[in-house]
Amino acid sequence: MIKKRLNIRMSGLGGQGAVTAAHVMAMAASKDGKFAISNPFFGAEKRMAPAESYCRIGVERIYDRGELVFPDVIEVFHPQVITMGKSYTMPFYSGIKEQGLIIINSDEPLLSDEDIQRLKDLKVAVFYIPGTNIALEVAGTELSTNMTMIGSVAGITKCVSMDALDQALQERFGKKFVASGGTATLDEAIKKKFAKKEMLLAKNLATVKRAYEIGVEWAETNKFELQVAAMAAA
Amino acid sequence: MAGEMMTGNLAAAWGARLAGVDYIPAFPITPQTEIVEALAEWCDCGAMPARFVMMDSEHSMMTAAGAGAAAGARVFTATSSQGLLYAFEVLYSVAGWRVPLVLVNVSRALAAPITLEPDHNDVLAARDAGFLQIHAETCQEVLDSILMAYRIAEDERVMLPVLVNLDGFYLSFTREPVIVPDPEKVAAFLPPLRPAHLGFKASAPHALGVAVLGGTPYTYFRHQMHLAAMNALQVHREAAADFERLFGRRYDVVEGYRLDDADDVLVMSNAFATKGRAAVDAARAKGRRVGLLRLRVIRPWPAEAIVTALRGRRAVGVLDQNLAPGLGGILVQEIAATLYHDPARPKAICSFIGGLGGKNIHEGEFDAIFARMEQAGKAGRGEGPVLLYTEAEHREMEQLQILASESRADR
Repeated sequence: MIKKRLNIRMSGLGGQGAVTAAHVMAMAASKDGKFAISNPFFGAEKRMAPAESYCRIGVERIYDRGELVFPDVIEVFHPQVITMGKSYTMPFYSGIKEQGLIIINSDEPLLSDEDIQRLKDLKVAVFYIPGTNIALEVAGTELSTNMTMIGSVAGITKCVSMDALDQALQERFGKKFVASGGTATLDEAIKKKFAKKEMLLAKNLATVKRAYEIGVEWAETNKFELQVAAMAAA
Repeated sequence: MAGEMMTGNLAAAWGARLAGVDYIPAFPITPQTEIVEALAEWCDCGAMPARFVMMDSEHSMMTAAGAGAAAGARVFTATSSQGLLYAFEVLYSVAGWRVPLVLVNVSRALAAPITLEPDHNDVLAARDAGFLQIHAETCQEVLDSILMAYRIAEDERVMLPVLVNLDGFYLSFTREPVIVPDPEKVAAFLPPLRPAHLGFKASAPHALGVAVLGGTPYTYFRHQMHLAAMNALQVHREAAADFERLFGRRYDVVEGYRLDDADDVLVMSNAFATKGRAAVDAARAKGRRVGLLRLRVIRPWPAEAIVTALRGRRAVGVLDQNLAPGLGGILVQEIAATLYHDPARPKAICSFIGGLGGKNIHEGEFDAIFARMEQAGKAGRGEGPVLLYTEAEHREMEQLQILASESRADR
């Protein structure tokens, strides 16, 4: 199915980078020349509390903002969103559109028989990706889990290009080194911090790429198609 | 798309940066904090040659802002919700000092119960303080409105502080494309601040905000404030024309959407107006001739523009994202009073209350709003306040109440 707009809801827990993931996706879509808007929803800013973010990507001007009630894609960043109901909507997939897609970060199935049946009725595809394992393996830190969620949805739907994701990540994380104008020791410390950042950036990008490839492969194997239309030539 | 993907908060910070402010007294509060964080970083790294000072409270922050502006500095500050209320006493004072500072408020509903998401009871509580008010719909408009706010505030015909409002979450944390204006063009739009009556000179001491005894001098100064605020309508017109010429974006005191042949018009403000546009498009697709009027400048109250946009309509609906308990919507009162004297006033004015605490307004709710407006217009009799709450939301609340009573019974 080719759509004019793809609505993505990311359900995660505080500290997992769901907000950043939506922002990076929207930045990348904008770089691809598409219309995009992203925003978060959260309550108390604390780790492991429910945190949601939304990213809308389309080929026409988007007059919608805020809470995303009817998503095409839901990404579950943490098993507890499902197993402990850490979600702002119950069940976590409420509002999902027919023939939509759910991507779950887990190395084991989490859905009840009832959930499986309801999603089947809606012709919603479910894709499990062991995102945290991939992040640990490729980036050496589970902090890069959000990168696997970016990569997988991009790989399956092609809503943003890998090129644009690369640029967006550079912009979001790659700060230019600026001499402090203070002491040499301070400059040295800043340089070290900068070098560390550069390394993190490379690792994040590698994680996105890995998940992207997994997503592409899954979509091909399962003949799954959910994409945003190409922009009409200006 | 053109522009950088930027949150409304960062767009606000860019507005202050491009305006070349001298002094920023600050105090953090969600969902505003990102504004002062960005400014603190820019002041620290030398990108902004301004003085940034973290104060002990919003009350002190607003006092310092007023005092800084009285000394002749271009001053910026920002707050939200409870913070705005804590600064309340000082809002009236600094407006009376006739200092042209700019205050950004990031709307967040007021306690109790405490929450983080937006409605406009905070900013509308400040509507009589003597601050002018501009309410923004998009992140781009936040940045642009701050530049326009300085231009208007610092005009000798006005010399009043301006509050620029943006909705928490829906703009503050929402990333959308924002074009950052060219600093040289901004310099052409916004000349340096050279106030005739402000500034600090040891050889020429003077007092501001002195006590006056008796109503005669007091009334004189209050009348002057009102007249200056009304002057801002003309000053806004000039600023908007210059802004459009330099930057290609046009901002009027009110903004119409698909008004031309509209029978019924819904009035909204701030970021939810974007949802209103989508609702108008959807209703038009179903054959309803409806339009939207967005209030942008709330103070001074743009009576003439409102009458021009709304006269001769069948029905007008006002969607207040605020609630004055015991009365209803705040803005509908001002709209109704404004339309009363026009012979071609609409046959019905309906009042709706929605979006409290950031609650979504669903497509079905907009459908109901337009249907009720049509009905009211045909009957020639308005209604309201209608408190928007869907069946699904009611069920959700009942579930929460069951959970709460169960856990209480467990104790």
